[in-house]
Amino acid sequence: MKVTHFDPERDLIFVEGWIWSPRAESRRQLRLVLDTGAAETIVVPEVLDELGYNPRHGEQITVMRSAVGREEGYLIRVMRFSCLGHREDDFRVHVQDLPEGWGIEGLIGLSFLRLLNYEIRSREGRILVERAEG
Amino acid sequence: MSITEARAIDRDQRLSWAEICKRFPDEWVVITGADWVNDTDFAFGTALVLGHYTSRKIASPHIKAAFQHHREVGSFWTGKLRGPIPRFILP
Repeated sequence: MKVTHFDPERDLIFVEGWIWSPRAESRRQLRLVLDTGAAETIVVPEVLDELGYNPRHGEQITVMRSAVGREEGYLIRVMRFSCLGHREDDFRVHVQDLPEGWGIEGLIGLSFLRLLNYEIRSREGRILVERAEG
Repeated sequence: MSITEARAIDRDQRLSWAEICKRFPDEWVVITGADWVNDTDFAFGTALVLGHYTSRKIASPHIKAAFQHHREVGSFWTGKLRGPIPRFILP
């Protein structure tokens, strides 16, 4: 069982994650919002570019519609992704721009969370996580 | 980051997160060599600050260049975190 701590006084749950470069020779840390209402795990395009990923290797171009408009992005598999003390190889992320003012570089969505069993203890500021079986 | 700002950073000086926030308020800081407490929390003793920028997009090419010399690089906003807009807004 892994335990991740967060600040329970904040409006949202902020956590940290890592993404490895295509050949795993380097890795980049970033701050993310844990969002159980998001299907995909989102990362801003700059992070992937810095690590040497190319949008041409993406699997699919995407369009996300929200209350504030229409955002284009793409899906791409990263060599390795890690968050909440667990890592996943060949993990698909949704690359999409996010407003600068948020101070984050991505969102953890159910595409990663469904690999885990987790318990969010909001008052305590703790997330208890174990790898899901099967 | 200007040349003046670059000179202001002592390349050998390691700073705690509290010191980084105090010295570079409301900026994106690029750090390396942090002695992380564990693999789950944002908690480290000290880290080396490679640069500090007003915008993530301005920081990005410097982060890319930093990977030529460092295996691990992170960037973090030292100001208030806001996150996504709420999905539901009461009238």
